[in-house]
Amino acid sequence: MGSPGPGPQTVTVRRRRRRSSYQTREALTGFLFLSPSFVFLTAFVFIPLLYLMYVSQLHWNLISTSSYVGLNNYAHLFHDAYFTSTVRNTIVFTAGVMVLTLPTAFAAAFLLNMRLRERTFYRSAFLAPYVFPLVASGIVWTLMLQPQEGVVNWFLSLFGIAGPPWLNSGTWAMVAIVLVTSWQYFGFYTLIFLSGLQGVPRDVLEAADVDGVSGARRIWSVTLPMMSSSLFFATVILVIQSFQVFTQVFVMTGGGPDSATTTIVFYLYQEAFQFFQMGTAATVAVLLLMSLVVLTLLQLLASRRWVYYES
Amino acid sequence: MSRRVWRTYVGPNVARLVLILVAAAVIFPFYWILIGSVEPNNAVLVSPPHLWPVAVHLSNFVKAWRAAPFGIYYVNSLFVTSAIVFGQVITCALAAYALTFIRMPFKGLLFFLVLVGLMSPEQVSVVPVFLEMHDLGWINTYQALIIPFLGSAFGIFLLRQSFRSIPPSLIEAARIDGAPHWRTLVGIVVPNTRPAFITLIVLNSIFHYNDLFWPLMFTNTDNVRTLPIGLDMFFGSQEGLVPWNQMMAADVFIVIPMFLLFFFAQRYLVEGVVSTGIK
Repeated sequence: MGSPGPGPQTVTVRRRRRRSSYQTREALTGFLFLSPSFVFLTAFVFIPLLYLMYVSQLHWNLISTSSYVGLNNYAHLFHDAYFTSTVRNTIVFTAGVMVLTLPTAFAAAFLLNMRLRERTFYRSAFLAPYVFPLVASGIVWTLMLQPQEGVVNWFLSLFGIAGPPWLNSGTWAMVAIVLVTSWQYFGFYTLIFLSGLQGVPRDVLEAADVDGVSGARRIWSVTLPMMSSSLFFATVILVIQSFQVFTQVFVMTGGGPDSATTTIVFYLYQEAFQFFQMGTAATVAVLLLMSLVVLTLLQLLASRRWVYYES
Repeated sequence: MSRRVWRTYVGPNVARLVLILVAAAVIFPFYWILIGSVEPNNAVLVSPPHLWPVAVHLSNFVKAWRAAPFGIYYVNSLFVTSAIVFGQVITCALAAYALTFIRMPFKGLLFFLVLVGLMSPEQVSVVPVFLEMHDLGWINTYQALIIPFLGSAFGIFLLRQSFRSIPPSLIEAARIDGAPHWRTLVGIVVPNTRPAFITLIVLNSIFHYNDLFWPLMFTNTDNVRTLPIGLDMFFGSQEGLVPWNQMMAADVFIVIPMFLLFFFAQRYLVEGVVSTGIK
């Protein structure tokens, strides 16, 4: 303070004011930094979510004026056998992808964790489909699954198995879509499990060995519980990802045959962009969002009980 | 056989054998595409399949390229993907910096909103955003493909995770020396979290380059269409004798940019999948 005169009291006041103006400037900078993201998120996520809730209460086909119908769309959907079947298809699909992907990815991760010299090669190979566009995967697998000339049925015939009609049969079309999805994401889940396995402390495994617990029993009662957080994480991501399935269905089956592979998002697409039933489509989207949120929360709660986190 | 022999010799080789078989199965479709892409059309869909091409017709690539406006789709895909990812890097870096290093009110609430954004996929927001775009007259424009993705909850979350590894004292020291926030961001934070940025770029490039869902809803003419939708139309528009070999050739030239990215940035892709696993 070079200037003479100010008493001790004025100094304190001035300093406090300066500090508060500094805090204001900090906060302003903070909001300025956040504003680009929040402008876009507000316009294309937050407002759409609110708007979605509103549209789900309308009867609206884009051409005529909309009318407010309250929760009728919801009531209607719950009694609509077609919608219920799309939910069932989605659940069957999700269960199929889980059963096929999680154990195989875990096994692959377990083998990769043996630290063979050439393991980056396997890792790249497993991850390659993840980079491939789902549209292209859908096309290629459609060809490979042709009942007569397809590679897959030829391969099965080598073992004396008569290959199924794949995309021409409702049940097998679902299996085909599960197969493509597993192929696409297998490497992704292998990586998640591999990082989980690498987090299991060596000394615990050795202690189990000393106590005479080894082989399959050690995997089941020591390794798996110790890496439960990545098992849990993989399951949540897989369920969330599977509930949103669209591209495989769109490219390979168009929801058929006989709507056997029509999933929730494919139904949403049909309602919104083929029949222009915006109210119904919005209702489906709200239900999808709610199920995603509920699934996430349920599994979070479950994880509190069962998951081991090393702290 | 003693346990030691099993552990050092037999075990690893059994593992190796299984891994090679699995890798072969996973890679096989790619191999089959490559073979098919150079073969004459009547040789693609045959049983038993060819494990080596019966003839090499590189002209398939030229024919496929000319069979649909792939040049336009290619430019559109590269443009849309880079515009989205470039924008995201800037908006997400700024937001993640503010949420990590700047003292400000409502931070908890703002971060909660980011988490809400993280939970709602494009399949949920497509209907209301479509209606918005309809009112703006933006259906079938680049804007509709790019602007909705310029804010990324996923990107903010990813960068914030890695920004938190930087000691706040480092930022404070620079601040006391008079550096403004934008300069500590560019000069200290970015250079120290480069892997996170590359991860964000790689994961979101792959996602948007390969995405069919959004362009399918928002485009209806070739001048703004992207590769996935172009490929799907090429596949769906075929009647009579389908040029399977050209379809394979198209698969090959479509995937090249992302395979290159994968090749050069695989380490970061792996890190990204492991540390976030959200996409």
